[in-house]
Amino acid sequence: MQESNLRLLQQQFKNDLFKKTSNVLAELKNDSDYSAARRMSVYRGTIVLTIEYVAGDFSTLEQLVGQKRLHELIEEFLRAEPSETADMSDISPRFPIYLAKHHDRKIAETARYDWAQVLASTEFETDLQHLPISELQDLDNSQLVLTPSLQLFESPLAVNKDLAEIPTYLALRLVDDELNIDTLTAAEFQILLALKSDVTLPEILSRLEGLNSTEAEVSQAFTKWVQNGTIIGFRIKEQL
Amino acid sequence: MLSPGVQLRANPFRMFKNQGIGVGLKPEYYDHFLSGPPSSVQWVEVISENFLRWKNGILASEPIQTLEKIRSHLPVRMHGVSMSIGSTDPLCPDYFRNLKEIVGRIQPEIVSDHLCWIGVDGQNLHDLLPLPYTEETVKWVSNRILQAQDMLGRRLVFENLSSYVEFEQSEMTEWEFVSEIAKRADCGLLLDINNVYVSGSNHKFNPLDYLKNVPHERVAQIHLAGHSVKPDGFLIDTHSHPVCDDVWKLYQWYIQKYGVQSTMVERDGNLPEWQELEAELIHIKKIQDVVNAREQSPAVAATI
Repeated sequence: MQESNLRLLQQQFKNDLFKKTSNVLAELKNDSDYSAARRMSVYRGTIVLTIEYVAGDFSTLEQLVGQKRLHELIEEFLRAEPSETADMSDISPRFPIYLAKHHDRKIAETARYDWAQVLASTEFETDLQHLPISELQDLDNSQLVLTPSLQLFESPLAVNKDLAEIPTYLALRLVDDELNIDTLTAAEFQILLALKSDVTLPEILSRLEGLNSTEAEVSQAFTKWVQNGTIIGFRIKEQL
Repeated sequence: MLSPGVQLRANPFRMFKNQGIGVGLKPEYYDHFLSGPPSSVQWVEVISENFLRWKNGILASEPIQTLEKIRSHLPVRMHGVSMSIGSTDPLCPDYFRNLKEIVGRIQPEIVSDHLCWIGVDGQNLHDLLPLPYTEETVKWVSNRILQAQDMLGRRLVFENLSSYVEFEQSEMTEWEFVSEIAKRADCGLLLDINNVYVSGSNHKFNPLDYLKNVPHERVAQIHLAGHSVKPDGFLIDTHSHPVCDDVWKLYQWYIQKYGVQSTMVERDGNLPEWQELEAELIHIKKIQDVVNAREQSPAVAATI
């Protein structure tokens, strides 16, 4: 066997893992207990685990498109833009960027929101620089900006409740509106990050320590979004 | 205390010293190590990749500082999962540069990886993938190990895989393949007895045939771990269960026949409380005591 044959074998093996056309099963020993396909399924299982690992970072997107479609999107992404290192934490940050290139904006920006949530939960000092804005802006001629609106999952009336009660009910949906990532204040950004989880106003404010944002600023930002219709009160799944 | 003769018997011609009993160190267990090691542990093994520069070339300071604290108490062995020594892609210079930096900082006793490939065409598949056991593969991989050892400036150690497929084109057994590579590359062998057991079950070979025929003098370390049994009987090397009885027996058989060598337990899933994991380390010690006692006096051993 030449080195090139080993390479061909490895390429066939890889293609089989990603369900591409491959002759690798013909290269494997079969036996009465376990077929070659059964044996390869163990390695295929690692790809599935990788997909599930990435999917865990995109819970809002899963609500939006369903688990099956999310897994398909991740697998498509892994095939198109595979990992180059063993660092699996490198996968999720690239996924929203891939979606922005190849899929509906709603899907892409929901993924961006999810990733921002992950960063917010793991990096207390999260700020705007953590979002992959520059790559998105370079994609095409359209002005790609973070254009989130806030959407009430449970009750349209929630917008009239006390601010501290509201975050439990909110999730992000992305529609065209006046919000631009470049012009968001720290207070506005922190609200966006905090809304999907059960975060109360005092907790939002505690996150703003060091960012020179006051409770008044947070309230002002929230009120502005309510008034200009950024916050829309119906379920995201019903809308879709 | 062992007699000098027994000591000689236990380590007659090894290239790597026996450092006792170790454990695969997970962050969940750091608290048990930072203020001084548990008495059951003489060394720890860490996954090299957890300490490399990945994102933007930045070295995460907290993990490496934690490891340095532990290193001040205990010898550390570094175990990698992404050298991809069997791949037909070029060896990754960045990986070796990063690894060399950490090795220089931590000064591990052993630097090991797996006898496998993890990707091709620049794609990392996040798995330890098997090779065909052919003369040409032996030549290819042993040359790569020689290059890798040159880049790192030290002898490396490679672990036998647990595998789930065998290739039609294979020309030799796995133990012949492993042995030949170790000899030609002049590298060490990390003998994973659970992997031998898992592959033996999946490919219908006798694990003792494997254990008898590896180059014992090159065994730098022994791994013990647990595996999962699928409903159809297929075994998967998950490291998520305690070491099974059969693997304990194989371990005892091996060290009885070829001598005690550095041994550790790996646990990567379903992490138990430290005390539960430590019980397995204590069990290693008990087996080693039985073996050492038999060396001294079969009658004494019978009382242990």
